[in-house]
Amino acid sequence: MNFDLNQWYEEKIDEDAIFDYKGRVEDEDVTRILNSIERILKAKDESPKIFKKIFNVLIELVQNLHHHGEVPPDLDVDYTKFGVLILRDEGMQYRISVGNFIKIDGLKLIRDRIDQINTLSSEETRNLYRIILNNEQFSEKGGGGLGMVEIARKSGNNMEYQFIEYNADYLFLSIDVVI
Amino acid sequence: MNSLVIEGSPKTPSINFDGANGAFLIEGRSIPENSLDFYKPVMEWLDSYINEPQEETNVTIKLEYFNTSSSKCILDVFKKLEAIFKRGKKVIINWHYEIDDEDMLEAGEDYQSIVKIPFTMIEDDE
Repeated sequence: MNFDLNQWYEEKIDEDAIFDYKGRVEDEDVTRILNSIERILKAKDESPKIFKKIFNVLIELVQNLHHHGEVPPDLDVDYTKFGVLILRDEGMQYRISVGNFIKIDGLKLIRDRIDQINTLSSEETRNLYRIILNNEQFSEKGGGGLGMVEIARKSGNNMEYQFIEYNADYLFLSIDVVI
Repeated sequence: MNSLVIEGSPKTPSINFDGANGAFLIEGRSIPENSLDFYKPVMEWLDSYINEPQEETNVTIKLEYFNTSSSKCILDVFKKLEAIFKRGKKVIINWHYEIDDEDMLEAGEDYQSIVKIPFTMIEDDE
């Protein structure tokens, strides 16, 4: 096996990490993760403006994990939604790293989407948001197709991503968002 | 016309649609994983309301957070109300945002750009 999830995860957790999670991402886990991070940020006395931006981006990222976090069979767990999240306070900025497994055939769609959004100016991002908001479509998983655009818009930064080979059927997708 | 009251939760807003007075309120957080489920009864109630609307419908939106799947449902609420606005009834949307929350103000402007109903943007001091 090329990719060692535990090693990848451990390496992300240094003295800047203020929250980390690895595991099941069912409804109640999403609630628990968001509650924990809200408590941590409130305790840090972060400005309401930054706090809201971080929280808005987190909501989308965690719900992405909930909707798209696959479980490769060899993970040997008894649930069907898996994800990883690390929040780091790097002094001048916050960095949210998320990771989840995807089926290999989903690669192109996700990569093209992030690449497209990363090329847009803030005004173009806003326009794209308005267009998708008004297109009256929901994906089969209930997502509005707006999540990635919202993440880019709220963070004001490009998403950094990496696809790592896991096995013949699955990739591990990691995304970093800086706020 | 009866009223629709849904109590808020940490992930869903409180809904108070007073059909007799045309006073509608959505307040709190709207961040459920599946927004379609949450908003289904709201849409159904609105379908009856728009058949016999009040002369004036006053909508107050006071959201702290909403996720992107809720954002489409909120637009659907406005589109239902737009139908009665187009029939000549008075509809006003009061879009509240907390002081300095430019993102929430922008979100209101996004809706304003799509929906023909007049919006009033209201900045709240904490």
